[in-house]
Amino acid sequence: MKPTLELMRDVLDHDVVDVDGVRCGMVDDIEFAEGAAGAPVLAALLVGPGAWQERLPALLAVVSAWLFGRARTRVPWGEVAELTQSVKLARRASELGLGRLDRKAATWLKRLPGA
Amino acid sequence: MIPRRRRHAAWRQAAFLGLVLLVGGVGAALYNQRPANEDDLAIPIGELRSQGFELALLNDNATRGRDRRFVKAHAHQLAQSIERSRDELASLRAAAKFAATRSAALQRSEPLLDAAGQFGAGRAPLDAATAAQIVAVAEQLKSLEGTLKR
Amino acid sequence: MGKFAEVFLGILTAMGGFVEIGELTFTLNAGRRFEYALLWIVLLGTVGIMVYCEMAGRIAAVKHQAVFSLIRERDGFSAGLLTLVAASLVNVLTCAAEVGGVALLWQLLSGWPYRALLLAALVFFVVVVWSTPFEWIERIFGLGGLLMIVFMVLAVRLEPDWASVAAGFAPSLPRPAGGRDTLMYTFYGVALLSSIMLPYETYFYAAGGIEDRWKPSDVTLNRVVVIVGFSLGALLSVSLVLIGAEFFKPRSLDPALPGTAALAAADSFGNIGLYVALLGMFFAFAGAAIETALSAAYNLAQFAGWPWGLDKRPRDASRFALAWIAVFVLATVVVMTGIDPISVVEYSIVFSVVVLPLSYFPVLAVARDRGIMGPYANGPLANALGWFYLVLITVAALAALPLFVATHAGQG
Repeated sequence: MKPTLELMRDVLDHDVVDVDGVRCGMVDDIEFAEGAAGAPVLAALLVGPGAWQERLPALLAVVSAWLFGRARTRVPWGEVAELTQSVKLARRASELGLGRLDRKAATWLKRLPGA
Repeated sequence: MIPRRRRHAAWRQAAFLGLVLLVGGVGAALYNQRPANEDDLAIPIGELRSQGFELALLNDNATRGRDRRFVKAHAHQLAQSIERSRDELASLRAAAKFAATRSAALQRSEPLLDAAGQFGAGRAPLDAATAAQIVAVAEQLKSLEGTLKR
Repeated sequence: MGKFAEVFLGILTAMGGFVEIGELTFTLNAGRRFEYALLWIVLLGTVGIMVYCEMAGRIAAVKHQAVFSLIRERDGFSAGLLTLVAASLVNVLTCAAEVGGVALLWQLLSGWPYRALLLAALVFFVVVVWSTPFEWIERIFGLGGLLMIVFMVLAVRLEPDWASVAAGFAPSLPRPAGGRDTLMYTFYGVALLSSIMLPYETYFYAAGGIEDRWKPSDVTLNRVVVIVGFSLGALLSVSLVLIGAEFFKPRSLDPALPGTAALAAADSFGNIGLYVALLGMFFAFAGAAIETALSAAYNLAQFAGWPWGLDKRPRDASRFALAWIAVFVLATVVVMTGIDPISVVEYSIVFSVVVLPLSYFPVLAVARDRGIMGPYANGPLANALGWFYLVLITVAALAALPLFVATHAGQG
């Protein structure tokens, strides 16, 4: 990874891809923790409606919370293996709690012929 | 739980949005209430004029041996368009000076619906008298439209 | 497959997929009302869609990234979401118009009831997209759309005054017939421009490039396909304007149904012309229905970070699969209400103009960025054209809604 990182440009709103190359969300928000000497330190990536709702005007946030829920998955920064055009993770999506809805939708799509 | 500050902001935004929609809705309703002018009338009359000429074209093609199923089906679709245009014309609240034009258009376009119905019943092509009548009706609607557009 | 065959197929597919129900209606009526005076808009719009599809295709080949992930990255979340909602609405409406158009065409061929045919069309589309590989969908509907060449033959057969046709390619305003005519002319100009530059074409073209696994070496292929294929497609649009002027204007007929266009072909070429025209329109409308539904699903999946692509089994891109199915269902519901498909398409074309600047700006921004595209970034010509069209579509976007209201949706 580059020595300095432009978070807004290179991390936020980019694809998240797991170790198998499967897309499993977007970086919807970033979490900072308090590091040594009180300076903020990059702690985790946040993925899911609970993360992007914070970035919407209040009315839209409330409506989307009602429609899509407020689930949010926290991906610790240590899980990030590589930063290219996408954020590449070191493990599988299922191990990190990502892509759950895709797997859920797949279980009933599987019953159809040709799925 | 969404923080109270955000919930209050959401209510304020919802109220504002509601107000905008209300004003817009009232504005649109008032606009629709106004009496129809010549431009409003010219639209459905123009549609009927076009539909009349299209029926004539369809009949002409039917005499030259076009696929009967196509002729019947196209006439059916045309009939629905004619009905829609007539309904639109009938629903317009014309200002007094246009009322006569509106009734004339409605009356004169009746044969169009009958003719389209005849196609639909499989009686294509139309007999010469009906065919001539359709063309005459279309020309009359065209001149009615012309008086409105002047 | 050999490169030559691939280019050839790409060109034919681009040509066959150029026209859909909205463009068909607007071009015929533009010719009917204004004769050849709007031909320059066809030229303007064609160059515009070439410029943006070439850029989007180049980005797909070099960065393997499709338009909507660019939009989110470059415009940010809120603006990207706004674009997504607007583009999805336009896609659903356009899809609805195409599905309705297909049902109308099937009714002309079979005589069966319209609503039953709408349901049949829904089943048809879902089954085709579910079971057919992407390249075959592109080829079948793109090549089938080439049957629309019957309209090109018809245009020549009607013996237009070629000198007047040529004059139509120079920008002009209508004969000074006063405010109303100029207003209608401007509306038709904007609507025609919009119908040629519909955003779904760019989204689908770029996503297709990724499905076809383009690499940087395909940049030239991309350019050739876009330029040659869309030029040929534009010839078809020009033919439709000519038919409007030479066939419908003298008969005082405003084409408002797909069957009306077929009737023009039938009038000159008999039943053969009729069947070819109906089949050509079927492939063109059906292709557009599929492209708009897939485009909506691509947009949503790319924006949200879901796995996407017809190259994957539905179970491996499950929300993407559900998304395109949902679009077909929604589109069918819209036309089931009985609303006339041509009216739907008029609305969708006007609203799509408003979406255009939001969709095209990120494409230009990325295509000209040397840091991202390296040696494949825009040259001076692409940059100049890109900016010119961005300004043009922004002006058109601002003018569209007022014109729509002032001209009663282009009817008076």
